[in-house]
Amino acid sequence: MMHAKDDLEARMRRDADAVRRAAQPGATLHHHIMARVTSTALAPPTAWPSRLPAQALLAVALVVAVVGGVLVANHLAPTGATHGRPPARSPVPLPSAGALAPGIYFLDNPYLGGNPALTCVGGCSGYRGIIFTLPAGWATSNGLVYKHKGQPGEVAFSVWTVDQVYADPCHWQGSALSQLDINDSHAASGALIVQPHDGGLVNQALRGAGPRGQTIVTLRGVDGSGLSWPPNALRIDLSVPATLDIATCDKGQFRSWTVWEVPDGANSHHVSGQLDTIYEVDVDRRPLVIDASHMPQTSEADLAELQSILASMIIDRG
Amino acid sequence: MLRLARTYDSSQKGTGTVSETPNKRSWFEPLVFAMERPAFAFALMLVRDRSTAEEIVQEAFARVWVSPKTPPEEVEFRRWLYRAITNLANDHLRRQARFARLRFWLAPPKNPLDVIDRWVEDEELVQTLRRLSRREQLAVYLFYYEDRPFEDVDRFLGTRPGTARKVVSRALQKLRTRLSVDAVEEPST
Repeated sequence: MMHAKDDLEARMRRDADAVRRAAQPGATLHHHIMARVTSTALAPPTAWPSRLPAQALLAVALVVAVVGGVLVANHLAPTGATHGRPPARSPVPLPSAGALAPGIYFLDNPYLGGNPALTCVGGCSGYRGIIFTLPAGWATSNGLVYKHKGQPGEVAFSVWTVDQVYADPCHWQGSALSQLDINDSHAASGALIVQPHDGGLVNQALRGAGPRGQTIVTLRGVDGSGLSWPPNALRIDLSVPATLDIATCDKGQFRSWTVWEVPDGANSHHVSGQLDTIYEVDVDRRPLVIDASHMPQTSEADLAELQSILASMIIDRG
Repeated sequence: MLRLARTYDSSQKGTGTVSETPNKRSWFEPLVFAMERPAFAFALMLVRDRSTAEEIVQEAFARVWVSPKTPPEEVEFRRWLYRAITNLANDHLRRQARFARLRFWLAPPKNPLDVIDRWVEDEELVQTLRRLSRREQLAVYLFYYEDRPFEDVDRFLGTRPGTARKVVSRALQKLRTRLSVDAVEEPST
């Protein structure tokens, strides 16, 4: 194909655009970089060899090649294991409270930490933890990761192992309870499907006009060896009525759901007008629930940060 | 209010974070954050393969980490990093070319999924860019692909003001000549 001489710069600009478009690094690049750096840092120091004559190097290479060939020939039988060494865990554990520096954090599955009050005996959500990347300005307390907490521009997310969903989140005492929306909603292939059902968050009262959209999305996930194992999730967008006086609700709390194996445990972090995007993540045993919330007054920039955090999430399925 | 996102107890498990390694370099990870994406783009421009580019970027960061002389200042760090990427990419391309010449070497079958990641590229331009010197490649990349002004390119190359403009201009001249020669040699279709 012929190109005119003077279109070279235009070709370079087009190529640059193509490279820029393609240069979206994988979600795990940062983890892999830090894992590589960590393993390099932890490796025993090696002294730089002094320079050897080329003939000596060639002789050594030949010996290595011959010996290596014999060894490889003796070990060609398949081992059965295809997974490599698990990557080093580079994310920083999320502290229990306080301001958070920008970085990558790891949030453990609380049911796997040896706490006798929280066990997996009855069937907790099947995941080891969640890795996510935070920009500057975020903080955490009591499991809520947030920015501008308690202010009109609040933006936050939290992670839950849900037991049951209240039909009436305001008058929840005595309210009927139901299962989450994705229970038993699988095709024969195991794929997540949406089917009409009673109860669940999609039918919860006071959570926005119906019918509520249910979208199946795929999140990022890895198994214990670091190989990709993306889980499906059901996304449901909910709201709290802007005119609702939550003080009039039972115990002054607006409760979405109860918490697995925690007496009187519930998600009650709600204020009037709050908007929640719920992800019911299809992991083994029991869904993992991620609640990403913001307010109508939340700035576009903060909302974009929340979305980038969600996009950075990797479910470590253990 | 009770939440169940229990925090990770670092006293129970080792975290393996870089900041806890014997070589304490608190400035390193923020630089990784700031540069992993441009570094990936640079590696991608050089090798045109996502998985190879990712591998090169990981290795380049590891190399600059290991070096005791790696500067913590951003511009200098970037220069070191890009130099490591250039060297690794050139090694990779050289190895590729060497294996391509070996008749008994059979390239592994292409993963069909890789095709999804490929983009429409100007193969002729890519090949010609690779024939530039390392300094010319870098100058062209910074100017055209990262949209940096010549002053920045000068700072990056560590050259006197005005040199980058000359390097880019000379590189363009070489590209034009080679593209035109190649076009003449190419059989008409």
